[in-house]
Amino acid sequence: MEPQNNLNGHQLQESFEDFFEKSLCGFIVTNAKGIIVRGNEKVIQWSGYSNEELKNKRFSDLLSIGGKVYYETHLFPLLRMQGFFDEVMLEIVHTSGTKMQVLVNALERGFDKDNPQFIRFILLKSSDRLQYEQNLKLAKIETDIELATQKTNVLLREQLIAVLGHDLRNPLSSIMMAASLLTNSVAEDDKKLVSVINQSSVRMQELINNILDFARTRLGEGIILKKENVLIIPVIEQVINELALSFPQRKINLTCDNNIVVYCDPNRIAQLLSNLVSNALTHGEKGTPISVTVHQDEHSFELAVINKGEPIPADMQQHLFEPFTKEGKRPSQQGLGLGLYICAETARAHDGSLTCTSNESETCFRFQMESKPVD
Amino acid sequence: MFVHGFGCDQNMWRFVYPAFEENYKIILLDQVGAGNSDLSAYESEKYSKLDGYADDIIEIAEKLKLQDIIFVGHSVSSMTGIIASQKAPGLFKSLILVGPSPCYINDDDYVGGFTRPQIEELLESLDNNHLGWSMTMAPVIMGNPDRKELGEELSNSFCRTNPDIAKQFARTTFLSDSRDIISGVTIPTLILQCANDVIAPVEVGEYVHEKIKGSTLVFMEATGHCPNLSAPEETIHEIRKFLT
Repeated sequence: MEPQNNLNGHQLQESFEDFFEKSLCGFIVTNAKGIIVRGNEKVIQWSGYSNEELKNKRFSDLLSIGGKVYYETHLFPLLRMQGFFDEVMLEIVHTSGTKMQVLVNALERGFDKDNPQFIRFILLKSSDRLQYEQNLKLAKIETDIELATQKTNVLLREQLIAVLGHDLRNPLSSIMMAASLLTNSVAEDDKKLVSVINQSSVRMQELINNILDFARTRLGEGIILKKENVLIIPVIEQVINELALSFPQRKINLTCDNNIVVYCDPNRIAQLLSNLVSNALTHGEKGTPISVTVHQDEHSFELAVINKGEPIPADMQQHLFEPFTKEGKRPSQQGLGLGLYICAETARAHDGSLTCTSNESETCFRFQMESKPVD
Repeated sequence: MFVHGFGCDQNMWRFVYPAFEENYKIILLDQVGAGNSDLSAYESEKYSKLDGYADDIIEIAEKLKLQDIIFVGHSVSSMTGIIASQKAPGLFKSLILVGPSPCYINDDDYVGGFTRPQIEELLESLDNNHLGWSMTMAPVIMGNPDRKELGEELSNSFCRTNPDIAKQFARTTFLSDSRDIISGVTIPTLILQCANDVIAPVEVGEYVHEKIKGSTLVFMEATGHCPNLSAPEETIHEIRKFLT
């Protein structure tokens, strides 16, 4: 609408009339009883009432039924008690029946706090905001459903792991025990067969352990360590001896300093070494020895497993420590490709690292961690 | 005993009860789900009927060994009071009903003030929660009346209601029909009827007056549904007049 002709720019800017009428908000003034005294152009536009019709209505007459009850039973009491209310979502009903969402603030005014003379209402259009809120609400509901489904899945997975852990491990131990008892009593010709049973059982045990560990790390639990100060050489020797029994035709050389004490989880280090040496035995060139070197200085503890044989292709080296990585060329005797992933996770849990170098002369996996024993 | 109605709590009576403190023992309470009540005490089934609320009133009266109670009920609690007075005859001396309504929905000749579709729309708007009812709750402070410093108060902090309970209380309130029982009231009864009350219109006040034999009906100058807040002096005056 055009400004009144008799006002200059500054007067217009300071004009209460102009401010009240030409606003993007709806303004309503009611008397202390809540009867509308005046509404601005926005209110007239939103409600569909004329200026005259608006007067003598109660503020709640403009609202949808829910808002009406909300206003009379809750908002009005609130207004009387604290002198204002703010940010309340209500619906204005146009005379044509269409509804529009508004945010309403209200303030009691008067010279005496206990006896307000009138009430000012400010109405802000907020249909868009409402839509946005409803979208958020819907999105939340969907997320909740998704989350519930995922939680069920996790539970199933955990149960599967428990099944693997207990139901597979126990019969396997029986097989291993029976095989080791047989070793000394069978005829010489059959010893080779018993050794096959032994080797495969050890391998199977490793695979089961790896699956369990993988599941644990993926479910967020991570590899759990029981760290202590350990005299490490006997631990390493035991792993090598066990594997040597299963692979009697292969040679494993150990090079180490004595009396190395490391703050670590000895069972995990044994598992890591066992995985690395098994890999070396499997992938290293038949008839060549495997070397294991253990070294410690004031900074770090280092464990390396080295084998001869074809180098690991460069493109594969990048993905070695990811789960389910298998050597592509050969038919796999290896199963799942989780071994190195678990080794790397074990190294990480020890705040250490596992690296691989592979070339024509040798392939070397090196585990390193800080060496300080803890008192 | 002052009992608040739907949508508010005992703060409702803050301008009224002090006038009676000198001559009467004052009992103020928050109904379960409102104000600082213990939310864990809420049971959907019990409070799906006004009977459940009436049982609470009787329990409180018994616990506090109250006698000759003057029951002042606002809005829906007027009916709660009537139910309680009939469940425990002799407990109440008189009833003061502020904006009472035995039934909010129009029914043949009966004018309740709302049509059924309107009440359905109301309940739906509560279910959808798009009127910001939930803002009326300050969860951090609820149930911690003595430790308000622990929670940052919301700006609209009076009359807090748990939104889920408010939904059910609305259902209990606006779907209730106590028309059959009000004629059984035999104790002195005052009905305070406001002008321009969209929740309990004049016709409803007249209906209650007609059904309760010997009751006193006062048409107040106050407008709206809450004369205890909008016109406390007039409310006090009318209650005093009735009691003397």
